[in-house]
Amino acid sequence: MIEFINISKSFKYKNSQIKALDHISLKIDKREIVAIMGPSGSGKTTLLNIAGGILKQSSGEYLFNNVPVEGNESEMAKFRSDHVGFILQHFALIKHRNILYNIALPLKYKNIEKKEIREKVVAVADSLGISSKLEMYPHMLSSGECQRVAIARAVVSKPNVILADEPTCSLDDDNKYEVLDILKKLNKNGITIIIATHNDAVARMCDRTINIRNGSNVK
Amino acid sequence: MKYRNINYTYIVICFCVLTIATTLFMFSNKNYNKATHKIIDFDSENIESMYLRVTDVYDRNNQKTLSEFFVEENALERMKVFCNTLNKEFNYLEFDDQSLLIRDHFSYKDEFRTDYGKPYFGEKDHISLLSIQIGKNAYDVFDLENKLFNGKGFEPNDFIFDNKPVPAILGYEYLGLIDIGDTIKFSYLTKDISVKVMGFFKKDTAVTIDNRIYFLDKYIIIPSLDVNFAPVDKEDASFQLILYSLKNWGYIKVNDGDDYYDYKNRVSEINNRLGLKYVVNEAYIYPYIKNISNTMHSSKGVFLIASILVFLLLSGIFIYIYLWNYNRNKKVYAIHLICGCSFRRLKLKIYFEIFMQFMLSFVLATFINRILLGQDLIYLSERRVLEQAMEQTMVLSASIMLGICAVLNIYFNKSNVYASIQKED
Repeated sequence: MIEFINISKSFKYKNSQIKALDHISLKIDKREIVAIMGPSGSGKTTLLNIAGGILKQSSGEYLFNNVPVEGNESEMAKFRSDHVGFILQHFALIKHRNILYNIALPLKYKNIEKKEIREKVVAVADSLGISSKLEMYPHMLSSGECQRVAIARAVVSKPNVILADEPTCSLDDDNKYEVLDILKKLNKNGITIIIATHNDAVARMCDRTINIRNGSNVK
Repeated sequence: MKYRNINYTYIVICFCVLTIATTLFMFSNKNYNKATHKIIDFDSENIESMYLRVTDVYDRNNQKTLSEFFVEENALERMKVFCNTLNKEFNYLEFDDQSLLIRDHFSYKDEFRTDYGKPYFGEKDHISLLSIQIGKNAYDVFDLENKLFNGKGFEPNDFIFDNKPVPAILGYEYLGLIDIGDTIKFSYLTKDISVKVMGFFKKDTAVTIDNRIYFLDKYIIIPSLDVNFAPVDKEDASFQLILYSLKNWGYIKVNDGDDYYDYKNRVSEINNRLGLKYVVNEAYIYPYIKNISNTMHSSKGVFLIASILVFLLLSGIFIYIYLWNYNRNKKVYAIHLICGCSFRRLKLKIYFEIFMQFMLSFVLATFINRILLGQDLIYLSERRVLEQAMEQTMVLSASIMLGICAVLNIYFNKSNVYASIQKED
């Protein structure tokens, strides 16, 4: 499903180039749940960003369902909208908007009617136990509830893959395992999940772990 | 993605301040450049001589109307005698700013008009141009002969109407639009007259009379005509009656050491003898216009520099506000991007919001400006100046808005929006 072939990514910083990924190759099959592990600055987030179509690789090839992921920014936005859901470490919710708006955001870019959007949001919120919170604002929820909202937003558009960047780092143990359970269930429902983490407990719950260090695969 | 309400309001208020400030500055600046006349307050210590303003009191205080007076026996003759006596016995200045109605095709600028023209009155026939009728004595007192740019000035005979083309000296801004020797047809009072261009005044030539400074650049100056023949028909009679009623609204110079009340009494005596209803009041005339003109020019420079500084300052403040706002909302933008919004769409949304803020604030500012500036404008030509100032303000505000968008665009392209939600540790 996702295949990185010899991918490198460099960033320009002042007058020097910083290499975030260095000739990395990996393959993640459909319905897999994979942990990407490595210390801070190893390139985990960059890898997720390229997989999610946020960043373009400097060199190498990225295949999604055996099709190269390339194109202009609008095409990449469509790729994100059609195939990818993101869960980020600090939930990344819009604070001055209610939960309904936050969850519905990906659907707003799919030209879906308001009524249908609401139905889909309610259904997802129901399945994650947050349907009573839809009119509330993020600051009124606990961190566990906020992460559920973030998960709801990631899955509401029925993506093929969820990219989770440190999804449990802001959570206590109870909420951490609850979130992991949810991700497991989503995986069982057919969604491929890639989790960037440096938490061993999270990695143990995944089908397999890909270790990277200094932007390269660790064998 | 939406700004918080308070933020939105803040930006709209700032835009309002910008548009009002720019309009005020543009208006002031344009006024100095373009206004045909300005009302000014004189320091009485600077007044060289005392003048008396002669006016009639017909239609006032239960007096008969001017129309009633016109049908009286020998009304015209009596007015002519009054005018001649004033000129003979006093140092009398004839000065009137009756406009000339266009009856011909020739080039002129919109700013030369005393009305709004077509959109307001519909017909080209009703377009009237700024004009001054000046008597021989006033022409000499204001030393206009020496303010000619080219051509020749008025001769004594030019002040006598003989049904030939009336000589005219035009303001500097007519240069290039019309040539010396050209003849133009106008309607003056009730008569169609031909005006022959004799010359042009120098740029910024101005005269000050009765607390009003007239910049002659846009004016057609013709002599205050004497008609030494009896009316040939009813229409001619009507023309002569109105003409002399205007000529008799002039100014008498009180010579140094003379008694002001003595002048008043003498005028009153002539007036009573002729059975007319004229009175005299104090008036101020300041012949040293050059000094005032220089002061005005200095003020113009100050206004121009102040305007530029205000523009730069406001532009800087706006760019700062929008960059600050952008950074404040960066996280929200990033969330939209990961949810499937394209970079381009996001930018368009931001620019659209800026445009809406600009439009809303401009409408508000225009409304406020109309109330602030539009109220006291008696003269239509001044309203035109305000309109032009508003137009310029719109162009300048739009330029600032586009500048903000351009700066934001560069900033947007260079900054890593995603990092705002990914590098919080």
